[in-house]
Amino acid sequence: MNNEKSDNQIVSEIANAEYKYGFVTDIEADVVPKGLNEDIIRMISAKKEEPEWLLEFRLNAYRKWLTMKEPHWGHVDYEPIDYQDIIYYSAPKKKKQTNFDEVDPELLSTFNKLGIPLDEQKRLVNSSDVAYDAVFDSVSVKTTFQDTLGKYGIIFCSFSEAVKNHPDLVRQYLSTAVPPDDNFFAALNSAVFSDGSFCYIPKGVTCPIELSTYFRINAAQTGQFERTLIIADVGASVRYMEGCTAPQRDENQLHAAIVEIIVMKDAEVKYSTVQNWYPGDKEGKGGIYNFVTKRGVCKGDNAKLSWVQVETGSARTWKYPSCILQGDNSVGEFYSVAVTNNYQQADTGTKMIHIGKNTKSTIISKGISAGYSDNSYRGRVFMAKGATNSRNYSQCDSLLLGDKCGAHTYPNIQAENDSSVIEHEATTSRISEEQLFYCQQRGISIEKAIGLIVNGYANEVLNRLPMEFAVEAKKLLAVSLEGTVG
Amino acid sequence: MFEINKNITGFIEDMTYREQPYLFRMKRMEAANSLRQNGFVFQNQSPVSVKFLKKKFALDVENANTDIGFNCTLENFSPLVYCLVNGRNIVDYGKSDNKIIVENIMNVADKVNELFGSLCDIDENGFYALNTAAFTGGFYIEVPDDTVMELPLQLVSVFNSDCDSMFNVRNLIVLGKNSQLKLIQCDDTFSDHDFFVNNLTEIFVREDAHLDYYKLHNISNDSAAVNSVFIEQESHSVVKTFNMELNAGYLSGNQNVVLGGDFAETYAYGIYLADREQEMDNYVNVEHIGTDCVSQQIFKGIIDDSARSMFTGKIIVHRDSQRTEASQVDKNILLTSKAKAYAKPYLEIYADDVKCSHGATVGQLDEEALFYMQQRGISYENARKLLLNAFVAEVIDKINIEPIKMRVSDMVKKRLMGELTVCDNCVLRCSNAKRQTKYFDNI
Repeated sequence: MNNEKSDNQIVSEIANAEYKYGFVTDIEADVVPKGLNEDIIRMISAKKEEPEWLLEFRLNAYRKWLTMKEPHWGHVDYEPIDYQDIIYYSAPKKKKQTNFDEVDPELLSTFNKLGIPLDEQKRLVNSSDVAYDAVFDSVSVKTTFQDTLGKYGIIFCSFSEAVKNHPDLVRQYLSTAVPPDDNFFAALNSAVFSDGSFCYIPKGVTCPIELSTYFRINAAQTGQFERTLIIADVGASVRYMEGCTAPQRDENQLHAAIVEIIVMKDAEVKYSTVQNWYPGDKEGKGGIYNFVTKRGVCKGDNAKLSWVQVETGSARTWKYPSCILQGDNSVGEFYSVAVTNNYQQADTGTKMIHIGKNTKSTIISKGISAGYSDNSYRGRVFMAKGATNSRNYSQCDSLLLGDKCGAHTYPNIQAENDSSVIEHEATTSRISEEQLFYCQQRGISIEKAIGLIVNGYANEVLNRLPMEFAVEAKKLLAVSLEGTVG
Repeated sequence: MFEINKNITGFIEDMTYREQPYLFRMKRMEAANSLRQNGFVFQNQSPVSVKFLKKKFALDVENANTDIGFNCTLENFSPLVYCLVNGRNIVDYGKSDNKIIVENIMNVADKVNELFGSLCDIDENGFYALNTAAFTGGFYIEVPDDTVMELPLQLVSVFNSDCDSMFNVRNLIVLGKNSQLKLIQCDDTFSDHDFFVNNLTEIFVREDAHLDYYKLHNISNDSAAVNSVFIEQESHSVVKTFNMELNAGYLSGNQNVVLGGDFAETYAYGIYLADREQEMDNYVNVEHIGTDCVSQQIFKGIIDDSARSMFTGKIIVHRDSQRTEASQVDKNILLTSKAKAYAKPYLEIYADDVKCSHGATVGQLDEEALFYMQQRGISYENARKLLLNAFVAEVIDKINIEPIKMRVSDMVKKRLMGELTVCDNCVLRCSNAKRQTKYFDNI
């Protein structure tokens, strides 16, 4: 659809777009008081009408969290977070409680503005094959195409619904990939998580459409703590996408989510993220702290899990989508493009834990830093003793635009058997003068030439994204790097 | 917080009260304080070093029989040789050269006032603090400006004791402007007892100076050595370091290079061959501060039996260090299913006009190459040996003192065959006869 636009239009679109999702929706919200203690957790749990076991789970996580220390090994600096100064639950008030499907028109229009139509009718006209779960602050407001998916036995709903309607599934798999005491932010999330998406693909089913969760932070002074759980049963296959935005504010907001993916025998999950939280302004004021734990377990043989991420937003990012390759012959992939500009700092990468035999993993990470930003790749590849004949290939490249930014690579390679092969390569450089000169010779402006070269550089990862996402991601890259030359 | 055992702390206490120059006493007190407050800080060392730290060692080995008759058997090789016996007394082997100054560091406190301890941060690593608090002696070498040393300089630390002992040796080397030096450092033990050697060497390389620094580790299987080297380079200086780790119970090589001046070059090469339960750590930290500098790190390791290796390489390119070229390679071959290799090749880059790369691999010998050679009538064992030799040859080929290159290459060959790996006149226990036949059968 974008092909029809003339180049000029695209250029002006890019030039004028800074952070176009920075608006605030004026909507009445149901919030809990600021601060964090056992009462708040009980209150959140009560509001969501949760069963006793889930409340216990939360309280246990909270008690563990109290004993833990905030990690500071990442290459990110930020003002200390006051965990008592955050609102842990904010839900848009439903005007007159009718049935669940009726969504507040204000919300509908918000999501329309973000390009996420929640109206199935409209989507059908556009004939786009994506089912959305839209999360607004602490609650899921609407999940589309639930009926269509239901015919295949696929469960795709908000986490709270899943707790009500499929408690056994939730209880069986919750925290099997990310235990509550995994790390500081995971413990915090486990204590206060509000909503998120739940997805179960039954045995042998290939999900006919793409599933997507869209996260939106709206209310001020709140944190977002959603939790996503995806289970692909034996032989199932699904492609999942995640998008996110937040309003433009001077304060920093905390986003500490957990994504857990369970991949059974012969199943395949592909999880794509375009992370576009508000990155703060040019002086580094405001923006989201994105401290997220994402992990998938390839439980059965021949399972495959693929992470694709495009990171352009957030003031601070601390995120390592990981694969635990437990089943024999299982495959883990990680493709990432991380762009930082102005005063953004990102410390992101992956962990590939090889446990099963003949497991394979691929890591392709492309970092682009501009302005005064810092961009780090941090990864771990571990070959356990039993992971015989396993293979890993990692490539981490960094591109520096400007002389005030930093690009760092911290890989950890741990081999504990003699039949596995690990290869790691990394390069750091800036855009070659020759390439730029060549483009300019042929009448391409320097701004466009850089866009071209950056896109080419990131192409290996962008190609892995689903079609709509790829188009969006390419535009985002251009916007994020806006003003880096000149 | 790890606390070192009482006999070490007692010795440190004792050292601060001895009669000595003010500078050393102050430094010792600082280091002792750091150890008291922070405990023993492990920076990169593996937990096995704890095993050695817990062992009871004698620290104050006075018995310095200076007539140990050290004799290096390298052919066509006659360097200037100085011996340091038990980290205390320097023995000069006749061929002294008036061009350079070689002294025991204990006697030159006034000369090293500014330099001593200026490169190492004692709070960073317990071994640095321990060395500063407890060193008993070491070399002070000064090469005056515009002095080109034709002959290599060999510094031999000889340890000879009738009980298990720990030695803290402190060296300080200054290369004046436009000078050149080839330095060979080895540790040798003349006794059946176990040793823990904690070496710390600070090297200052002034403008346009050239230094080749060879360090050979070949000590017994029950001994441990921590060898920390700090190098500060001024502009247009060139330093090449060769770290050859052939045998030891535990080895830790810490190398910190600061490229302070512009157009400086540093090359760090290393091989580590670990077997049995040995552990070999290598930590190389290259900091680019000047512009237009070049750094290269090539480390290769072969890990056998249940041995373990750890390589931590760091390149830090500071904001204004434009036009930096830095590369770093660590390659490991694991020979058994119990062997372990860990690698952390880190890059931290804050300047944009740079060419930096790093690579790390862990794997096995190329199956196809093995197959190809077998097809041509070379036995599996021989083909394997050839390939292993070729694997480390990349590093050995960089050695630019021919007799040493031959000797190291020879030692590596013998080592890979499980044979005795020490100089022919050595009496180490590590020459375990039982392993000698492992690869030898097929030759």
